[in-house]
Amino acid sequence: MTHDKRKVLVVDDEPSVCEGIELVLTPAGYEVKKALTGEDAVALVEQEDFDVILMDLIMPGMDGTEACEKIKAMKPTIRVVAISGSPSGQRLDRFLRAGGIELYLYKPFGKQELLDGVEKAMRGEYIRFRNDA
Amino acid sequence: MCLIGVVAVATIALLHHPNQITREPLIAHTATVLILLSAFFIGYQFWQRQKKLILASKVVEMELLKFRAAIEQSPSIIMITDVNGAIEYVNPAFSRVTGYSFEEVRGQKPRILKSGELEANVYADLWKAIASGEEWRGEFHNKKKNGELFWELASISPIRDSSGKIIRYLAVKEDITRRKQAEMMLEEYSLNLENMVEERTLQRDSARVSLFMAEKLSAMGRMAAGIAHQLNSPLGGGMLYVDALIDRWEGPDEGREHLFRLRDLFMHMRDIIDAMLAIARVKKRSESARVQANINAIIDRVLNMSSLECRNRGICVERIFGNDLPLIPAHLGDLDQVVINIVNNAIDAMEKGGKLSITSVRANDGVRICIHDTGSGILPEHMDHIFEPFFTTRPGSKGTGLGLSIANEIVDRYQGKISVQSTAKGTEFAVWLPSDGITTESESCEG
Repeated sequence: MTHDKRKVLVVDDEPSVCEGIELVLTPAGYEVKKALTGEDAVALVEQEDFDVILMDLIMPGMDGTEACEKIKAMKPTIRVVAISGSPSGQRLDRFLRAGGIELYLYKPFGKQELLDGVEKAMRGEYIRFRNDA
Repeated sequence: MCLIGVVAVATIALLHHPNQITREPLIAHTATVLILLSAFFIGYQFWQRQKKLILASKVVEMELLKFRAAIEQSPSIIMITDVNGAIEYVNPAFSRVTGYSFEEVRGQKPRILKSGELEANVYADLWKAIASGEEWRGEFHNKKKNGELFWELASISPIRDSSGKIIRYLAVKEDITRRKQAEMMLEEYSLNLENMVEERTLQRDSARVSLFMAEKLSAMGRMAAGIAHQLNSPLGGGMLYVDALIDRWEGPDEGREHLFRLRDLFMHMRDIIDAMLAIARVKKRSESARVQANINAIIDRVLNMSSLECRNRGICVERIFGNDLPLIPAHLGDLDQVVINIVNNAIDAMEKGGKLSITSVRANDGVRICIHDTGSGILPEHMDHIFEPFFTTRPGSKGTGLGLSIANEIVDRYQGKISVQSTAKGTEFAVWLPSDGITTESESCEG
């Protein structure tokens, strides 16, 4: 990317999630932008460049998978990471096919989990995070 | 006849004129011959007649024998009484069936066979009918000489003389004990059948109710799943805030400790939500993720969920976790469901408190989980049914009766084993699950 700060976009309909992520990532050296809806996210991506997008899959209106599709169509090199509370296998599948990477952060996650995940996404690793039963 | 006449004349002539005849030797000789011949002839006739009589009586005798043999050898009981009902004759079949010999019953009335089981009016009807010259048919429940009861079907009819007067009664009877028994069994079965139909109808109705309840639960489950899902988001935010707070904390250490505690509570909330979502997902097996399940974590989750209920009932909970337990490959939520259902069963059994203990231990390439309660136990007659769908010993709406049958089905699916032991002091369920799918025999828990 052409900027020196690493840019992350957080998309979630729950404001505390967006804010919480910002609280963690900003001190770690990332520039964080927030969007509360899929539509807003698409609009933002049109105007700016991001390295990683943290995308909530289940949102009212345009959901995460649809937003991912549109974003990947615009800027194919962006890595889109799903953040969600235990989505169904089907849903994850569709997300993958829409261009998301195989790295999921299951809500609620802590600070370290978040940082690790974003790092990996930055490095281009496609590791699948799973919950232990 | 004419010969006799001739002989008679000749004899008379001889007597009247003996001199004349003796003077004429020819006449005398002829007369003698004639007399002899006649005598011989008469004798012959007489003899023939005797023969005929003997023959005739022989024929009669044979006819008599024919009928007598028929009666004597008939398998039917034949009894002949006089007009007052006193027994004049019984055939051997009578003795065979009743055990009484002819001599023992001769002169007695048939009421010696009465068992007292038949109503008195049957006998009254009988006498009325046959006394008026009608035939009577009916069943008797009589008693043999040895006290054994038996059933007979009887035809009783009057025997008349040539003037039409009733001089005897004839009873022809069949032993229908077997048939009667079959009839009674059939009646019982048919009654049973009615009962069974009623029972089945009740069962079906109760199954309908249970199904309705199950659907209601299922709908509730979906709703709960939806709620749980949504809880994840603010919880997610909360976690991150706590982490951020922990990072920036500059106050006393005690404060940081509080924050760690807060974080733990959030993790706990996450576990609860996970468990709920995992259960709600059991239906959509194809979609639910297959994971390596940590049995101790599952038991912890379940006990956490039930802790409020246990506290309310005064149930103290003990958990004994084995170390180095192998992970069990399973779909998310399945094993949770098994543990939850059995634990609920245990809790239900201890309405007034008790102790719930759960043990996990490595066993035979798998994990054995023992869940013990101090309830009043499962009755022996119920033991065979506890895993049946809709079977419940809790009447009314408290229990769909599906819990254990679902648990059983899941354990089966993972090629595990489930067993129960129960006394009046408590019940213990033992579940064994393989860690690599190879089936092994399970043993019950000791202690």
